[in-house]
Amino acid sequence: MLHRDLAGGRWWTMSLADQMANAGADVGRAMNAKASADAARFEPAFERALELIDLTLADPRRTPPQLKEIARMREVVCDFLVGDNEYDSSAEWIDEYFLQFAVAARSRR
Amino acid sequence: MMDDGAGSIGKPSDTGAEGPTEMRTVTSNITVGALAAIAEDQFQNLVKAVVDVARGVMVVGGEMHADEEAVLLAEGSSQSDLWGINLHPEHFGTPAFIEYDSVINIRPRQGNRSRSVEDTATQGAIVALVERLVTA
Repeated sequence: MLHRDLAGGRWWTMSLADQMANAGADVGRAMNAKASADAARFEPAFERALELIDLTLADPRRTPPQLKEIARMREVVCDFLVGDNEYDSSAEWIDEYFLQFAVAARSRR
Repeated sequence: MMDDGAGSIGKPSDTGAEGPTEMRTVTSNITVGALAAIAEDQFQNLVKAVVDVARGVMVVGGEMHADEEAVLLAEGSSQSDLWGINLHPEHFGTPAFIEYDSVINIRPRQGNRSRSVEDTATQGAIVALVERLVTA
């Protein structure tokens, strides 16, 4: 467990936008590491991203439609990062997807 | 010299003995070895940090940049002076040591629309600050 404090329950007090923004930041780091073939950076970033995505999926506040999108997002991210990219995703598209959540999360501050 | 610990902010763990590394405000310096220890304890290869380019201080050890940002705001920092970065101890002394990537950097009203730090002058201020605070 990398995010011990967050996994201890604090993650589930955050808004969905905050959760997606922070998970997306690690997805972005994993994509950057993959693009530069930097395995030493890729593995921890990918692990952190999946940990935060899975904490989001386990959030008891999430509704079925939200869970469906989060689960699909996880599938797309894994397909792009460690799969065969069957969804024909691009790093730019994935980054843009998460950026919208980050903008929403920060606009409240 | 090790981290001076001045202004150190203890953040009690809420997960018991295996709790997270405490956040600390670095006002004088911190060794790269100390950063490596934080990285080892937290995210394996990086340490999240938020710098205040006006006050010349940096908070490390948070699980999220937003936590470190909150520490500095509570100390009186202005949000417009705060930037989130990741420090990679294994790349100390190279440009790859500092990674400009944080959700807290998204501030369209300041002209920064991504997780990066888009203004090169601000990047320069961050580099100068980190080079002063982090020692071999």
